[in-house]
Amino acid sequence: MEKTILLAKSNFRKNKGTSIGLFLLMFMAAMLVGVSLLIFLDAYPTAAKEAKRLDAGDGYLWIGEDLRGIDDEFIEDLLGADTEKYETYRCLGYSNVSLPFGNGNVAPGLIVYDSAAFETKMNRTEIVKEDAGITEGYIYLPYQFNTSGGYELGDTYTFELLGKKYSFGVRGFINTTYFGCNNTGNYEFILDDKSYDELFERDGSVAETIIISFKLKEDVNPGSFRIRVGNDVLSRNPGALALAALLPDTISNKTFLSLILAASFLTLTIIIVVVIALMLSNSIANYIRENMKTIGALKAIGYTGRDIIGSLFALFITLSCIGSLIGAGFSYTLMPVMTKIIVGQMGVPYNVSFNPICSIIPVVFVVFFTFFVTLIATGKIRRIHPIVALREGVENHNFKRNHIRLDKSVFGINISLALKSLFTNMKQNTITFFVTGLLTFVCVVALLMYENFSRNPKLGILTFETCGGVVAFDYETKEDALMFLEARNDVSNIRSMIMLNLNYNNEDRLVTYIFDDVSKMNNKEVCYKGRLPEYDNEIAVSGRFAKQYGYAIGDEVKLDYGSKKHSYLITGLVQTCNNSGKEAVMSEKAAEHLIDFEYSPAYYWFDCDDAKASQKILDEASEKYGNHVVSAMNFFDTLEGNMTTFKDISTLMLVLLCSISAVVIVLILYLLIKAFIYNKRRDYGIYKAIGYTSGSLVLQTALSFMPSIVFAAAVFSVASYYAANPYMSMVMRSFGLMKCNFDIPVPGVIIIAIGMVTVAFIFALIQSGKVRKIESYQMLIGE
Amino acid sequence: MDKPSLGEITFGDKDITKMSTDELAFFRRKNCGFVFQQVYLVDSMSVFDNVMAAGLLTNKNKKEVAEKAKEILKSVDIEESLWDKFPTQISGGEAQRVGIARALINSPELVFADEPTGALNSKTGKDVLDALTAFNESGQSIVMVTHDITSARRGNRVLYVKDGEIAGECNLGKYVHGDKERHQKLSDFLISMGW
Repeated sequence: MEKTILLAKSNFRKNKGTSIGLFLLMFMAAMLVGVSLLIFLDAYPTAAKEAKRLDAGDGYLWIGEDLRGIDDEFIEDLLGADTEKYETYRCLGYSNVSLPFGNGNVAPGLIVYDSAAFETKMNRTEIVKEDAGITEGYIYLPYQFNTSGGYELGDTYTFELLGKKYSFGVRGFINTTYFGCNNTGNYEFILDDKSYDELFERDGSVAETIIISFKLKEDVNPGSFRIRVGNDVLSRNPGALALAALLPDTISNKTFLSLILAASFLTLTIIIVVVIALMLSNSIANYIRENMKTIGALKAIGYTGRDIIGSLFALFITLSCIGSLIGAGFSYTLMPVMTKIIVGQMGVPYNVSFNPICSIIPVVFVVFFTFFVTLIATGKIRRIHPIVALREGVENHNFKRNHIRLDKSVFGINISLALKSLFTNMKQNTITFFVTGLLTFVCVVALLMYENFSRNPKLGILTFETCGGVVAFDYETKEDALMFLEARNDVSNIRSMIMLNLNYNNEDRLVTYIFDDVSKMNNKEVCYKGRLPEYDNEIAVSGRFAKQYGYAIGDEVKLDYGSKKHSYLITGLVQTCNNSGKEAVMSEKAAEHLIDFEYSPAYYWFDCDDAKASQKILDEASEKYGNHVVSAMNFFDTLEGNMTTFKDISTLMLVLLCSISAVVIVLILYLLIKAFIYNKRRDYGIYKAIGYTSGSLVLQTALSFMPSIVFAAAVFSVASYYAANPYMSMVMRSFGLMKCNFDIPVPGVIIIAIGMVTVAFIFALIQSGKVRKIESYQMLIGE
Repeated sequence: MDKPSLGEITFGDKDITKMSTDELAFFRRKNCGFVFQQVYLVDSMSVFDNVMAAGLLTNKNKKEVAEKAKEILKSVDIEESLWDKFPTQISGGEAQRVGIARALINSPELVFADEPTGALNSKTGKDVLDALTAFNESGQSIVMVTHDITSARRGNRVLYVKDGEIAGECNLGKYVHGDKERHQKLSDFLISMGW
């Protein structure tokens, strides 16, 4: 054992640079695997874990607008038989409000509680941060307002409810399962009791709401339950609003966009880890080749193949253990940055803590991989004869072709010799080609995400329909309001669109977008297969819904709403990542088979130039129609608010992935060029002896690596341009996005390709500078 | 190739000890040719390219360099069929003669030959010495370092170096094949030097 350690130490001393390079690769591989695992196994499940901890049950029921007939007895009849337990709470509820958030506004539903909200037994609300010094006129906001919305304790939060502005000092941020995240469609505010009472006094008659948290009995089907309670409430009071949400849907809505980003990060990480693994195996094989002479000498003095292999194992396994342990540890320090991807969007407090699985797997992965590669690479050592090893394991060169004849080459001597090196060094250049290519792909995908989630958000992916603004009027004024909008010059493409939850087979919900004229939709790309519906018997359903229930274009699907049922012909498949990917689109005529719109409000979606124009239209509509305006949304501002988190995250991802790619390519060039110079040191000595300058040899060496890098950057940037969307489609299929059509800015791709080549060339020149240290005299006096 | 730790070396009127590494490289390519004991051809280059790679350092005209390379390779008896072979595909003697061709391609003022036959058998060694002699007779100055009396016999002027100093000198004159007197004179000189 002692002699093995002795040899391992000697190997390390002799090959410090390579050992450190390998160590860094192992470190990075373990760190990236660790971060990815922590995101998926520790951070991502936080929403679900927190829901369980806060006893969120299986869902909640929101009953509002008109509570006549909804009393405790009715609720007991409604829920008693199917639930293990439930808890009722009365508060204020608003369907659509515009709330300042980030750089814009969001337009969720809102429930407002008093301080008794902290005392519920089920579906508890917890304080994450608090400034107890603020004692009156205060508000508790969902934690997401702090993580993404840009608010801090002590700030003043101003918002408008039913035409009146309110300002409160932010006393704290809360963790709440169903009402803490914009993606779930609802927020929860808690006011001091005095402010709440005043608000209740003013809005109670129209906004009083009952929120019921429930835990279902095991044998109850949640989908059927949701549909039944909704129908029962409507049967009791057709004027009531009854919304039931289930926990899995809430968790899914809370996490799906974060998950898209995290999944993209993970898959890109996997590519980087594959690159590192490829390089690791090549480096270990090179390492052994470089040390053939030492192996020969050791064998000559009596060491057995097993002793030598043991020493190499000792070295590499030690390096991999230390590198991966530090890497796995370091992944925890990176997590606060990475957590932004997950937690910032979910609005759930998360503190990274030691996770044994996330710490052990990266170490086991790197150590086993190193073991496996070393086992293969050291196989020859046992069989090699000492004399052959002393001749550095010379395998006779098998030059089948002289690729660049110096007398025929059209290039100068430096480029010609660089090209010769390129062809005689094909294995390393093939590795460089794929490494550069895959890293280019990683950067292009990161660019795609930055472009479509941050710089120029791809609205069609994030929302079913795009517009400039939405204004809704009650049934009394909707005809007149339409004329008002149509008469304006600053408004175009007015269409009526309302969202309705239709039920499928008593087990699932299909959120349906109902247009007066589907052909007026801006976002027609939402239909990725077939066509959008046109006639009153047609519907386009989401791909995820179709897949789950076995429907295809041309099939009929029967949907119901209340007591009415109707069958529709599926004309197309639409893609969506909202509402658990279960959405549909149909015309108003088609929906009239299920619902009478005569007394329903009308939601007018319109296009306009910008946020300012949109606000002007909304303000003037409010001024003209007052309380008849049911809802108003400036789409530009809302989008800005919704995108706040993603802008930061996708910028961070672009910077992070490009930086990691640059570090990986630098490390890989370091190892490749180091091995290359070592293997060619004799040739460099000869070149110097016959009069080549160090400068020209440095240039030749760096240039010899460039064709494969330039070629890879060119080929893979073009390939990535075309492959990035299919790749994203593959990643996002499980989120409901079947066919991605993200924009990929060509100048950005070119910058990535040029950047990759420039970083590689500069580093190749720096690393090739080691050629300067080679002296031809040393070659003469014996190596 | 190496910098002296003491003293100075002048070549013509140039003090080469004060030159930088790159200046020395330029100096070598113009003025010196080297023939090494271990041959040291670049394994990844063909025979012809090994010579070209040196020639192109002083002359950018590929055609001219190629013509000269062909001429020199023929003059060292390297058949045309070997020109596209790689160093590992030819014999040691052939490789050393390619090394001589490489040393001569830039028409240097001086060729340094370090034990040029040291790694060769007697037959191939003789071929190499014949090639060097032929070039010397055509006016090429050659400085050869050797422990081999057969090689030393080819010299016109033999300097005996002992412990880093010139211990003696023997002028043999122009080489004549089979000259026994020349052999005797060299043997006597070496004995007198304590060899």
